[in-house]
Amino acid sequence: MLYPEPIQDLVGELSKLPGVGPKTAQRLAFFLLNRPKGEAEQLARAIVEARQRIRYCSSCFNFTDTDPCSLCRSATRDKGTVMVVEQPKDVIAMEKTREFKGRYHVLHGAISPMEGIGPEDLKVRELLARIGQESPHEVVLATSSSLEGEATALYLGRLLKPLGLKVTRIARGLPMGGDLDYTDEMTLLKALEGRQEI
Amino acid sequence: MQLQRVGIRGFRNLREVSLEPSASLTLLVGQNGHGKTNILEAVHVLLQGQSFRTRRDRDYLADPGPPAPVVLTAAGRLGQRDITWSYMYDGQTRRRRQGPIVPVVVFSPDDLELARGAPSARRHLLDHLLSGVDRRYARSLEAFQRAVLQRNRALKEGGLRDLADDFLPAIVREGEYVWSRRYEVFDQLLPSCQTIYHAVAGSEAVSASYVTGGNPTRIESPMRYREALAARRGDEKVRQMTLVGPHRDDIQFTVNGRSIVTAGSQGQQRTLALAIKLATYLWLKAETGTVPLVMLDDVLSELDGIRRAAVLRQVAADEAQTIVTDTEPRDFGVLNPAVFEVAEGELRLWRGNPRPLNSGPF
Ligand SMILES: Nc1ncnc2c1ncn2[C@@H]1O[C@H](COP(=O)(O)OP(=O)(O)O)[C@@H](O)[C@H]1O
Ligand SMILES: [Mg+2]
Ligand SMILES: [Zn+2]
Repeated sequence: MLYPEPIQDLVGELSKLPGVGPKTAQRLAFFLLNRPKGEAEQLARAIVEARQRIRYCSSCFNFTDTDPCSLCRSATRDKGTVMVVEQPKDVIAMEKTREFKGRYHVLHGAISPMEGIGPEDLKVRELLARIGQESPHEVVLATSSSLEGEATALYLGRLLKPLGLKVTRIARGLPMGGDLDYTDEMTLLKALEGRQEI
Repeated sequence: MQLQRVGIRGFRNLREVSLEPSASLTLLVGQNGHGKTNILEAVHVLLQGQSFRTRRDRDYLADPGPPAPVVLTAAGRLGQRDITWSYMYDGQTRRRRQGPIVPVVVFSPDDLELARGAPSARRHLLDHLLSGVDRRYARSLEAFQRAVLQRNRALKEGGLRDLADDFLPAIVREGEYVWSRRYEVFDQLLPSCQTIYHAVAGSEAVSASYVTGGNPTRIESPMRYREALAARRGDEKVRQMTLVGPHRDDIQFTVNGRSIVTAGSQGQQRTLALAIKLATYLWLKAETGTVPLVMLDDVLSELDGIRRAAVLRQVAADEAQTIVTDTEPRDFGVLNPAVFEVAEGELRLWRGNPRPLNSGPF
């Protein structure tokens, strides 16, 4: 026997989410159906709102609801230093240390030939354009310490060095394969302080 | 750890099994397909946290039937901590393990691949041994292999070729560590492997050399690795893959200058496989300071008297707790095994007399 069509549709949509298989999708669907109607509507509204109001900041490519984002607009942030990270969550992690006073640039991924991801698929061209316009004196490469993060940092180093600016890489104090957002603040702070010119 | 009692519940076709193995030799006798290997596998999962024949714990769930938890328990001699391992899948994975990891060596008919199969069989043996005792090795190996995959893909894809060398520092760093440990283990295994081979084969002596992947000599520093890669740059462009590295290593075994792997007799290959596995048992024992549990799955029936005796002398007759599977009982003389019968997933004490075998080893 098949479930009524609306349930099938819901399960189908939920199972498109990362890490959610058909079984989990079913569980989530039944959970939602068993909750008060208002809760499901709230969830639906939150998804639609976020999708409509959130976009990339045209400068740093972080998620934002205003363009440019609050960090890029802030007068107290140092325009001379740009930190390159893989994901929006890495910005949150670094902000927690309260140590970094510059601005960010979010690549939205890392180089991974196996997955067919090259520089074209990341916000690299945008980074170059931005450096051309803003002429920062330092670019801090803060991609993760995974293989792909390391390779991305090496690639960006090769690309940026000839432009004559200071290019640094945060220290390898991070645990191997460690995402920035899984790393505790102290370790992150040390990685930032120990960054080295490449 | 000396196992005194193993409890198995809901593992493959084993609904409820309680095994009290002998301190030396235990024999599991039964027709094919009744659950002997499943018992060995359950013990392996319990002691090592993983199987020797699958990587998916879900394969253990009794099938068909409603999902029920798998529960494995082991109690050892007084003063040693019990081990428990449980697993359940109900849309979500629930896995729990408590207690020490205990070294295990499994002998199986597949071991013959070590002596006649592709180089990967020999590399896997070293990787398996080292990963079991050295966490950093396991991590380095995984990172190395992934870095090679990334680089090879980059070398193959026109648009990404420029990125290939951004994976080189990782390849050199991790690959160099993998080599350093493999060379070390190889040098430690070789003498006992040779001694055992000689003891079984009589007059023949085996030699072996470690063949470094893509280079005529051992590579023992990052600098040498970089030089070796640089020397084959042209080749790599043409063949679009990484040509120097531990992923292409091999071990070459020879008797009288002739390769056992490609030109050895069946007897030579069997003896070599046995000698390699026994050498790994001795190595693990020395390295971990613990006597490994030994399992012989369907191998005794394939060995002749001399080889059978060679194995048992090293393990059960020494100090290793040994579990053997067979389709019929054999006479092990002074080893006086505990004999159990496995039928349709159930275990009971063997009632009859062990039938003496003409070529009984003891
Ligand atoms: N997940 C499972 N659930 C139930 N039975 C299983 C499962 N996996 C394997 N089996 C059964 O276990 C038997 C094989 O047991 P095995 O231990 O390999 O036999 P042997 O005694 O020859 O070593 C087969 O009958 C197979 O159908
Ligand atoms: Mg079997
Ligand atoms: Zn911004």
